[in-house]
Amino acid sequence: MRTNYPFNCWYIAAASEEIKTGLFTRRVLDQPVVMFRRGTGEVVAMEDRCLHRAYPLSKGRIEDDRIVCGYHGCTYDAGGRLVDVPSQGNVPPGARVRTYPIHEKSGFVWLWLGEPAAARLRPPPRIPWSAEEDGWGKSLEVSSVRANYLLLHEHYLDLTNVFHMYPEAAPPDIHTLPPLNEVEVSELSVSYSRQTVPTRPASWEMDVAGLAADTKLPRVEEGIFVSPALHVQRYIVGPDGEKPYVLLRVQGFTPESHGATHVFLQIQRNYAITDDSVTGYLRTMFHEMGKRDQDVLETVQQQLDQETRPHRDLNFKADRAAIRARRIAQQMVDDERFVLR
Amino acid sequence: MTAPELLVESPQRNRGTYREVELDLQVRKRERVAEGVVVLTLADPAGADLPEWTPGAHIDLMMTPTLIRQYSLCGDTSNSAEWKVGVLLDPASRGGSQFVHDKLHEGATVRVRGPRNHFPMVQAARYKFIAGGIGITPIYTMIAAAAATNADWQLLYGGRTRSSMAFLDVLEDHGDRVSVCPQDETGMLDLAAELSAPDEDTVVYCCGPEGLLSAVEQACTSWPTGSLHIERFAAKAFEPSVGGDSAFEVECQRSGVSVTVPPDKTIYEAVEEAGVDVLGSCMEGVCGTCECDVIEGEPDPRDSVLSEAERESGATIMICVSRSRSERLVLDL
Repeated sequence: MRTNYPFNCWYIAAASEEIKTGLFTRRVLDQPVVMFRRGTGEVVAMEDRCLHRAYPLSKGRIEDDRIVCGYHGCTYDAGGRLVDVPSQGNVPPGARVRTYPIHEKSGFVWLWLGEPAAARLRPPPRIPWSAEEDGWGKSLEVSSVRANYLLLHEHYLDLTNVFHMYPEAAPPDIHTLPPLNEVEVSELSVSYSRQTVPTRPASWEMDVAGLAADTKLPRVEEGIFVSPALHVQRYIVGPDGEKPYVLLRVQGFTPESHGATHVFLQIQRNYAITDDSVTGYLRTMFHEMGKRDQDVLETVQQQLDQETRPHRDLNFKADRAAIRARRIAQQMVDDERFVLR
Repeated sequence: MTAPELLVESPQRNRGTYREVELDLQVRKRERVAEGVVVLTLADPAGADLPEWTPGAHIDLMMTPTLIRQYSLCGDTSNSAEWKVGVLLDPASRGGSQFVHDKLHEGATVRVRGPRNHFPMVQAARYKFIAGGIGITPIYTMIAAAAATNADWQLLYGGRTRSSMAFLDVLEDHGDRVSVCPQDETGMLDLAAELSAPDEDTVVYCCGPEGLLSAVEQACTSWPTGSLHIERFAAKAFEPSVGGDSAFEVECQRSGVSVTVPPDKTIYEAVEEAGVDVLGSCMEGVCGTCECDVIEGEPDPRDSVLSEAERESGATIMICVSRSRSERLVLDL
């Protein structure tokens, strides 16, 4: 099957906290990748396969910034070079495991699996609206959904499902989402925003932000499809003239394969920054929501997998950001395919 | 689109569904890089990141509400802090390049829309780049990308005189990959020789004046479909419909039904009334549900779904809003 994800794109391979002292493996874009931290703290990523036999390097061990294969002891340095073959005096010259460009920033390890030299043609990944360092309260969850990554983008780019899937999370005075005010596009990104009339806060907003039940607050919901790897949403609830309450939902979508996606969900907020109970509350709430999203998305994927004749989906106006995002991803995939083959 | 003088507005602009990113950017630097050519470096006054783009992309400089011109980005795609455009002062300027040369000094602010890309660079084993004059600007970024990825490439670069040709200093560092051909020294580009041997591993990218583009199109007729990528200075113009829309015929091939689509009806309405089973949803050319394949004829796309390449190919049509430029359209319905 032809994949529908581009390779020339930075994807989140891991949360920084996942890569500790040992070898860490994850399948990304259907490639097995092993990662570890060098003594200097820098992350190294390489193909998770010994050159000698198809044994995963992640099942071996680290010795002085080198990976020693757990099968015959072939040893590789951090540049992927084979530096020791225990059973043979000489090392085959030039033998090297493929290594991948890495960019670690603000708690995420970004990986480039495309044409290696093309990595430096793309700006390093960034998260819009984000407090880069420790200015905001943050929680993080890494999970996996057995669905194609574009189904996830589509799901979150059209939030009209919220009233059906999460009625309890919606503010009490809003019963349907107003249409998107604006869908703004550039060559590679899609952003949208929507404003609602002042409403009373939802119960979770009272709980985490301490908002009073009888206040009516205007709210803005914005989102950006930054790249096939990243969707960021921002909710701003603002008493006029006062500092608005901002919640960011950062979602890294990294295809594991055509039918499965790693999800890196980070919730950031600009209030109750140091309050661990708020962090825990939000983590639990978004975890529960993520579970429901997962059920729906996996069901859709299963349905697609079982279809025996092609169907064309009906789309609505609310899908327009998603449709544009799909086209951007498709264009990126098409540009990578040698057109004449 | 290096066009200093693009006379038609991009059709995308009139579509209300999507709005393109617009930014007020400051001219950080202005350099004269050849006779009559300046390169402007544009950046956000507060230092914000600019949207990402890929080689071949262009932006609109919105100099006044009615003076809007397209220029290819010619800087470094990895630099999200600034954009560069190269602008030739056209002696026959209808205002655009004159404005840039007269008014856009360092420190000036200009509204910018985009980027968008109608000239995307596909991955290939070998590239043959052909640039004429200021048409070098999109090619310049493509060469940087080809060089960075160790692809095999060649550039044939023509111009009036050596002194009028931008970026020669950098380009000539690439040695014999680059053939610089000022017309007053070497005459016209020998395209017949350059393109005489079609090669299925090579893609040809060409940007320059219309004469060059037509000549390259001619010379590439024996090349495999899809090998040639060109960017026209003035994109295919939409004929302004002076007297409103006119009627045309639509033949629904699968259903064996032919209908006339009058000016006041959409294709969708006309075929549905004729009993053809069609699927539609938004009726605004937004959602893509009613897309169908065009078997014959030239559609007049008015949707906001299709990419520029798809619009030009005319292979599919959104029948809820789009019409026909030809008198007859045959659809797979």
